[in-house]
Amino acid sequence: MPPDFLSRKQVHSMAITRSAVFATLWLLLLVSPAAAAPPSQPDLLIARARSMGLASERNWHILLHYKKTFGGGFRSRISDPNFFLSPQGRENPEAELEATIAGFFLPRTGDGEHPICRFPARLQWLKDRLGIPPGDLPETACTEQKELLQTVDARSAVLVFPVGHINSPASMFGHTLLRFDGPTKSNLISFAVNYAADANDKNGLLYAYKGLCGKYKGYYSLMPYYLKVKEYGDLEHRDMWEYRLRLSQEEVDRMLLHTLELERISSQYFFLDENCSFNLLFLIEAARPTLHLSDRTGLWVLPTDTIELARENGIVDEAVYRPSQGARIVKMASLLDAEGQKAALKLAQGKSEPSKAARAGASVQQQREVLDLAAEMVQLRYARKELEKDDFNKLYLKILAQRSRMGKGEDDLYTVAPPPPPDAGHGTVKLGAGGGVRRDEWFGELRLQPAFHDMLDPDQGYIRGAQIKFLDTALRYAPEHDRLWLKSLHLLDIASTSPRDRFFTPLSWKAAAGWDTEAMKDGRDSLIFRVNTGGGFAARSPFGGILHALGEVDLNAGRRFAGNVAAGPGVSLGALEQVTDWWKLQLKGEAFYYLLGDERVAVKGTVAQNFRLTRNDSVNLELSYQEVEGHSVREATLLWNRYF
Amino acid sequence: MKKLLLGFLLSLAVSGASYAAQAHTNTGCGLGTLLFQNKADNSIVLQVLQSTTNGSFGSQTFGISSGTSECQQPSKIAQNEKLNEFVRANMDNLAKEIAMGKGETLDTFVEMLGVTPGQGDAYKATLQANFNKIFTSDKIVLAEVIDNSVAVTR
Repeated sequence: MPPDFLSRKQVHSMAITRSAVFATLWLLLLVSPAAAAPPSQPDLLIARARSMGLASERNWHILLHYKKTFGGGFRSRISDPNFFLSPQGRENPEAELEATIAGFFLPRTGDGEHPICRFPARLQWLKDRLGIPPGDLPETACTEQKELLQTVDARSAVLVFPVGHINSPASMFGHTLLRFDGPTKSNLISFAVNYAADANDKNGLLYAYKGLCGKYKGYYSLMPYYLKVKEYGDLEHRDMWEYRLRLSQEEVDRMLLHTLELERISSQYFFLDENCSFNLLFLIEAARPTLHLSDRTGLWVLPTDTIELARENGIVDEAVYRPSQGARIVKMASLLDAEGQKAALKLAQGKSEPSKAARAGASVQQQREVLDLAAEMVQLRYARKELEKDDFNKLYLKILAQRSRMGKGEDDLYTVAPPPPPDAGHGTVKLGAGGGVRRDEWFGELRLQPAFHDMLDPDQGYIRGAQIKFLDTALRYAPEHDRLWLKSLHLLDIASTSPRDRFFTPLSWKAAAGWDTEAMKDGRDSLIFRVNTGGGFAARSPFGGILHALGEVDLNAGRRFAGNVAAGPGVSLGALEQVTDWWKLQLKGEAFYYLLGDERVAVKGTVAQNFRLTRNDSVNLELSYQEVEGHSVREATLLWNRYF
Repeated sequence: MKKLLLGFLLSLAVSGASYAAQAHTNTGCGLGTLLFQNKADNSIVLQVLQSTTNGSFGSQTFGISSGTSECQQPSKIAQNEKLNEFVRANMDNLAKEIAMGKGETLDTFVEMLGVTPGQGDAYKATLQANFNKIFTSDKIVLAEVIDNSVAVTR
């Protein structure tokens, strides 16, 4: 049986005993009015709290995660009954406050189960506000909590942002967690607080449905930071950014105490808004209740949004960059020529002897670099399960033993230069306005991209070559014919072009679903619904950009097709170049042959450019030429984008 | 139209089914201990659906110690569970950085052993020079790594 359940029952039965005692006292008072016993300590405190209006103070609302309801009342975002001492606690801040005060004076219970142990942040705040002398409270051990506080020994707190992974959309938005730093110099052994859904469904659809509708439970967890670094940095190859929070020791203590209150407490996890990033905001607010964070978020909360929110409130320092193993490998490889890289790969594949690894004439430094890169690659091969554990151990040690004979070498050789931090990136909502000409018809265009990043948007702070968009919508209006139409509405539009090289061989792919207005067989425009997916390869271009080639399948549905549907294979080729910091150029060619439903061949070429003006302003210029069954369509669009 | 959508959704549902979440799998006390197995190789489609979860799975613990009780304990220094856990979880990186003579994992290890900052560099150089005496076999376990490290730097 879960201990929380146990303790709740005990608390309940104690409340009954308590009222029995009061009843007896009351009777005694009636019998002997001369010996007027003073009202009990908790009753006095409750009366004082009531007169001070403590239950309506923001601190209390933060600690209980209350939010205002439409009816003007309050409701906690936490649904777990174990989080409340009053049965009405979720909706009634007063009742919960009074039950909490009373709870603190309950007789001793098993170690750790007393409200004093379970709600240390509430206790601290109420002690402060009501001036409860320490001696007045019952003695409680709280052994586990004391040990935990000692182990964590929090001196400062850090907001950590692991970025998305280039080829794994599961993480394209990134993630946030908090870290408590102790007195040690190293922060690998600090403790991290993470909020995550307890979701184990294997069915993707069920997973999405449950996640969107809050059917999963979310839990806070506390673990050594090195586990998180291993998970994100080493296994998933996601860079991490660490923002130290400008908090005093007292504020850090409050944050940790509130974290402890949330142990084993479940809350509904909503993928879009009440997610990992959102739920961390409560901890920051608990540290400094004058901050307004959790009540400043929108319909959805992206990890980068919370960083921006914290930045606007002036509580974060400059970001510190922690490159992933992937970034480190790229850096190490960049120091070697092709021969050196091949030598490292051969070593990592166990095809050459570490002792003979040194190429004739190579300097000691070059040998070190080859061996270091080889060691990283062996680790990578093991993580990818290309190696069994025993083989890994043998190969790895053999390479390392050779390396250990060659001295340390330069200290900062493998330091990866930090890319622009996430807080340098554009806002996650884009609004565009402009116009253009299509087939000699002038139009005005409005565009809304509610989330998150288009491949053409400025890269700063985002992953290059990746795109993830939800509900991207474009409306057009032609004054000449007084005509308004939907140009496109993409429910989902994801693309990932990830360059392959000697060390990494990722696939590139795309998936999109939504409506588009397009030229049909007869050359006239019509609105169709489309599902488009593709897969292929990408490579680095000689100019540092990304080239890609994808095989695609396009499924269309629309009134103008024979049988209302059309489907066919296609190919797309593209090049994405960051010409300067502020100028991005994209060339794209695509050809589709619709075999089914409505036979037609469509070929299209596009030149698109983005000019970054400021962090949150850019201009797009797009020119395209399309040929559909002998009908040609020329189009030019100019859009001003503002990011929020 | 409806059928198309349905077909699209069905294909997602089927391809998403290949996923298996398995976090915190501890597989030993020695080298090659992966703490998060099967985390990196999910099917792409499920990842699409997971795109808004920012999610890790099922880690609902406040376990500030994962415990090394199933591992042999080091003898030469006072019992230090935090150090044992760190070495167990980071043994691969520690081996690499001892061999290289530098790195964050190594710095952490040296700090946890209580080496004063002034002596850190000499200490790390000694560890590197004695790599073969610390990692004596590919079956090495955390207790031996800690004991050997202490022994070679005495």
